[in-house]
Amino acid sequence: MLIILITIILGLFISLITLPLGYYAPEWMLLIVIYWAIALPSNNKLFLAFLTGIIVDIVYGQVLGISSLFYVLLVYIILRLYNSLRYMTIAQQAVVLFIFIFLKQHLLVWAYFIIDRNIDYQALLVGSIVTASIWPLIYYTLRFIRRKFNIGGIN
Amino acid sequence: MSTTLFKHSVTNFYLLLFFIGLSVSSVVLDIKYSNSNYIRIIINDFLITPIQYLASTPSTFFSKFVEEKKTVDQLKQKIEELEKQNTAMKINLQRIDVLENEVSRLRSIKSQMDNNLKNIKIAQITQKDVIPNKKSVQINIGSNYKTRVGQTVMGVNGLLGQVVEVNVYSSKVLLITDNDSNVPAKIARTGQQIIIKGRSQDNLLEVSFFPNDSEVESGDLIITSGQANRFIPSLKIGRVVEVIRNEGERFSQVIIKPLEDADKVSEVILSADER
Repeated sequence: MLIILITIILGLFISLITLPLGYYAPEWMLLIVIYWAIALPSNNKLFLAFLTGIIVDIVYGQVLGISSLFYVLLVYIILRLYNSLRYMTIAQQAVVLFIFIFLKQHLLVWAYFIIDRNIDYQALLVGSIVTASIWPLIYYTLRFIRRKFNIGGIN
Repeated sequence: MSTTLFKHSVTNFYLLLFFIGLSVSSVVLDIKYSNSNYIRIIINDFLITPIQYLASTPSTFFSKFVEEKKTVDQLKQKIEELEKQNTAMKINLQRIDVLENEVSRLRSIKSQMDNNLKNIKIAQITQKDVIPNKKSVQINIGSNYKTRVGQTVMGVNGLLGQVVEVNVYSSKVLLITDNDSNVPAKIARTGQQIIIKGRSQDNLLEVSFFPNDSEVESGDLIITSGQANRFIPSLKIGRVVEVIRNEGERFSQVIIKPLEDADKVSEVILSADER
């Protein structure tokens, strides 16, 4: 669990570096949470998703809790589907994640519309493509970390 | 086996409902009581600010490294330049005696007009583009210097923006050149009240809904009007650079170039007026 938290902190570090790109930047922390949800599915990943969402909200200066809502939803879906996701190739996983993140961005825009605030729609759509295309990098890096520290105890 | 699987998924579902409820309630609370949000401040100051500092360290290190590699010639050139400026300043200094009398006379008039620019604070810009896809900067003072949301931020030449988020040791400033910022202003020559909107794409400003028959020409000075009690009145904003009259439409387009450029300043001034 400690290693997982450290990777989350590293993700925060990278997302602070890419903050000037705005919503065009990939959502590093979401991808890290999704990786851990696929690799080690358990209930506390929902808590992790919630925590990460709160941190992302604070970093981006959004309404508190709005992205944690969709992070939790997305991770719940991932937890239900992890078996089929594991049998896919990386490219297929990236495509599936793209679809999920694409839908998530639309829900985010919708939520922003409800609370009557502005958000850059185009940047969010481009951002979902960028986020999905960064998935292989996250996957291989975190798998290396997982095998190195022998988390999960299988490999 | 199947029963454990069932239980597993059911707990997941209730956990999901719990977290969704928590998220929604925090969204609602944040919208209703956005001014007293201590969670945001605590996480910002104890988790994000140190990491932000670490993340910006490599770039600052490199820029300092480059600065120190300046040659002696460049420094000599700079000394020469500064000496030239110094003599020019000395000449200007002689005129001050004459001006002093005038100033004291004018000041007595002005003190009746505005007494709200008394205690100002100087802050440094620590980072740019801190709010995604918005023109914004972060400054190094926060509620430790009694900064509050909505405070006017200006440079030496003119208005820069307003404070939109306050933490303990830092705060975020939305610039007037952002698409979302509207500044109540007036044309200094004619006194006409206008609202100025930012244009993020080219760092210029434009007047929203400027009637075709109103008078304006390029070169006009635009100042804040102090309407809506948001910005301090009579601060310089910019000068009109282009007026496009659209004959077929009701409003003409007036483009303003701000006098202060946030990319070029490193220190900003915050007003601490008590209203």
